[in-house]
Amino acid sequence: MTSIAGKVAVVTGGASGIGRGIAEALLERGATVVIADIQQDALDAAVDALRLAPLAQGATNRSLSEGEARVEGRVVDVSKAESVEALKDFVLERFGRVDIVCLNAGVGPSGLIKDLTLGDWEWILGVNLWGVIHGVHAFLPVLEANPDGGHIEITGSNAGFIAQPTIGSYSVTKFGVLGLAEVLSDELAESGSKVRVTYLAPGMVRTNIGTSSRNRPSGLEGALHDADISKVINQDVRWINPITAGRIVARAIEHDDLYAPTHPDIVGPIRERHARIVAAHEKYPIMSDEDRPHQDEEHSE
Amino acid sequence: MTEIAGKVAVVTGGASGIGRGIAEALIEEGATVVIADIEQGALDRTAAEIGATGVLVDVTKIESVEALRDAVLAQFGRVDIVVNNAGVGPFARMKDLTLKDWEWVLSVNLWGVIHGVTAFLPALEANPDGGHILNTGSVASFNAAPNGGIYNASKYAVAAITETLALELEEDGSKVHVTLLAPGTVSTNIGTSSRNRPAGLEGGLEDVDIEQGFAKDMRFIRPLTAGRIAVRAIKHDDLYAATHPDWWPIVEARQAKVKEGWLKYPVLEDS
Repeated sequence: MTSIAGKVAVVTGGASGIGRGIAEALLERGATVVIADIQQDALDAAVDALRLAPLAQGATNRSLSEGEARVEGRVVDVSKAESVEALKDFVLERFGRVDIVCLNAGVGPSGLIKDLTLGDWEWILGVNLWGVIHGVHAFLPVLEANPDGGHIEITGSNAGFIAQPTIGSYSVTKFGVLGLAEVLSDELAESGSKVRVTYLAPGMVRTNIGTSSRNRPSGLEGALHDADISKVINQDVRWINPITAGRIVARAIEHDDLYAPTHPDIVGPIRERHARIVAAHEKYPIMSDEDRPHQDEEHSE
Repeated sequence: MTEIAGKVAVVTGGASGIGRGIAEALIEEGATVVIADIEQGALDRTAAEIGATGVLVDVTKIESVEALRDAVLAQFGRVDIVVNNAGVGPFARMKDLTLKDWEWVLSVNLWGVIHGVTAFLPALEANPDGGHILNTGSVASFNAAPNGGIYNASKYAVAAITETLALELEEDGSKVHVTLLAPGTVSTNIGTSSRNRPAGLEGGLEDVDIEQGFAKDMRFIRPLTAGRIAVRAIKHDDLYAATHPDWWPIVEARQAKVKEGWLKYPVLEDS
């Protein structure tokens, strides 16, 4: 997608954190943006603030009418397919089209795998994995129907590339959506589609992911607890603001990049994991069907 | 785990394919093996053929996996090795998938592993000398390919739970160890996965016989060979067990794409 200006975008989890940063970055490049969120109060406040903010890079004029024309809010629960379908219908009804879909809503609580309940797994898989599945399912046909295609952004994590203690369920979801993003990207390229895919891999971003439990549904309580996951993921490195992560997403959309790391300076852990996988492939010679264990004993038979 | 002989092992999806290969390899090393499977007929036949005990299980149901654990403990008094292997591998392009397709594959390939870990980890941790969990991932845990969308998502996810569990157990000083088995092409019946597809979860996914299809020129190995590779990893406490180390270039090519993505732009700072 060469230009974001004039496009219609929808951002789940758009009322706060990285989602709001993405919304702001798309607005400053001239897009119309629907932010979708599960929290009505945060959503209303974010819509009000975005409508009054300068809507283009370098602009100083503030026009509420322009803001009302280019910023919209909608409550969504991405763990529910019907809710995501309703979001799609809302965007199409309000703006007649959708070009950019940012599947960003996510939670990031901590908990050792041995302590996790099935309710914990259901909660985090419902938002972080099913939220993306529902988004692709609802919006991909609409994007494919556009003459000039569109773009799907999926907010993953550095934790989609490496595992770390205490965030196992989070990594499961972020590895999972990475597999989804890579396959979707390859399939769309193979079929000559004009829809592209980006996997955002945020490192440390100043967000409210550390209070994820505020939106935890009752009935899915367990051992997962709030923690600042970005501190777990990448210690002692620089923090960035959500708008910077948002601009990295906008740049990736403009350049049709599959991977968009916010912290390309953090490569050590990914290299180390890769090296461990390499080492595992080199540890033993190839075992073929003819090889037998205890070959010495068998030779003496 | 230095010694397999005398241990009690349970293998889900053990009636056929790689699960059966792992069960046979454990038996030839002297383990007592319980194979657990959703197919009663295949379960009974295989149990008789290889000298294992068969228990019916549906890994998508936690009650069923807990009942499996209780049955193993009741009959043998202990469990040392847990192989979360049951899985399905049908294919479709992502745009043709229904939500039921996702539900089916994730319920077996991902929730099956979650249920296995949840049900058995406490039993393994309670053993004085610990135990071993082997989760069957795939080369598709490390590299994505068209038509394998849900399979890839599920196998990437299984890599994450396995790797995290390994790190957490090591930090705890636990005597339970973990292996991710990453099979390449193995001659199994995964190409007829839909035989066990629950009614109500129909969708766009279709069975593909990869041995006759896109993978027909690749090196296929017998399930028993994959099983022996799995058992070698258990004996050596290896985190990763690749059945096809000669496929390294596939994994490397994907990593090169990731690296390219990381190096494309200079660091963007807050402005």
